[in-house]
Amino acid sequence: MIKCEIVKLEQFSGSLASVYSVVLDGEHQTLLNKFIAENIISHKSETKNILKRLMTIGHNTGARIDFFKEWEGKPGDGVCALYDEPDSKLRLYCIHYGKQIIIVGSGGEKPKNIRALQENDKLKDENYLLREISNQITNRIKEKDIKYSTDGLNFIGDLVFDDEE
Amino acid sequence: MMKTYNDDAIDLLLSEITPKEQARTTARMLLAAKIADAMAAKGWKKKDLMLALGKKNQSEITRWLSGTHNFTTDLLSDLQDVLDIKLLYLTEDEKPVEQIIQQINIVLTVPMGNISKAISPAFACEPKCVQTYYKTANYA
Repeated sequence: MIKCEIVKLEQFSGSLASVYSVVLDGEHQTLLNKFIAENIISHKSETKNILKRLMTIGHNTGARIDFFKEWEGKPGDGVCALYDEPDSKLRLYCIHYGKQIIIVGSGGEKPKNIRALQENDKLKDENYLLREISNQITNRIKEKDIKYSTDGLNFIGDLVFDDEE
Repeated sequence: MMKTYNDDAIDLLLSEITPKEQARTTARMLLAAKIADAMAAKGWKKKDLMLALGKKNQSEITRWLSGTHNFTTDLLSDLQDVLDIKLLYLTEDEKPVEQIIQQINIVLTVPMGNISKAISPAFACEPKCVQTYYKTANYA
């Protein structure tokens, strides 16, 4: 099991959707912050654009599925990638829970010469991490340890994964 | 488990985003949302819009709906025609761009001779006697 905590990013969350990210055990930053820090120098414009899109999702549009490239994970696990400008080289992985909640993970640069994410170790690691986290959240939802708030905008329950399950 | 964390890189980058930059991104995404809503109201899939516009590539529609596309006036004009919606606001008495018309789910009962038939808004554009109901939602 991956030891981590799911945290709400208040900067991006609004009346239309809540944006969450993940803090891995032993880390002092969210996966999204790590992604930004890794790419802010080499891809500043693209990272900025990603933050603008997350801001709009939270406050103006909600997490419409059209904004995400689906089927980036296993069937039904909600793992997807946020669409960016057509010529963007970055790929940011997320977990989509309807229009009102997304969990933003990390990602990396997608080289033009690869077709599948499995061909790039960095993308594969970040993607498979989110698949596992999605699986852990699904189990908690099944066990009713995590529920949705009445307005659908929040996870309620135990968002800390630190025990051996 | 770590209970505190910092978002320094995010905060730094957010501080550099101007209101104008943010507004441009929001406008693109709201246009995409409005187009998607209009397609849903007509019961259209991406392929239907592609055919209505005489396009050959469905991935083009996917890009428009992704909210990343910088639409041209010509394309918005074409989309207005086929989707029966307003995307360009050219006179003062028309609604401002941030006001989006979003169709809501209302089941209409339409008398058809001796039969009353319940229809969904998806079919509301077909019979001329049917009115389509909209609500105005301000996404801002």
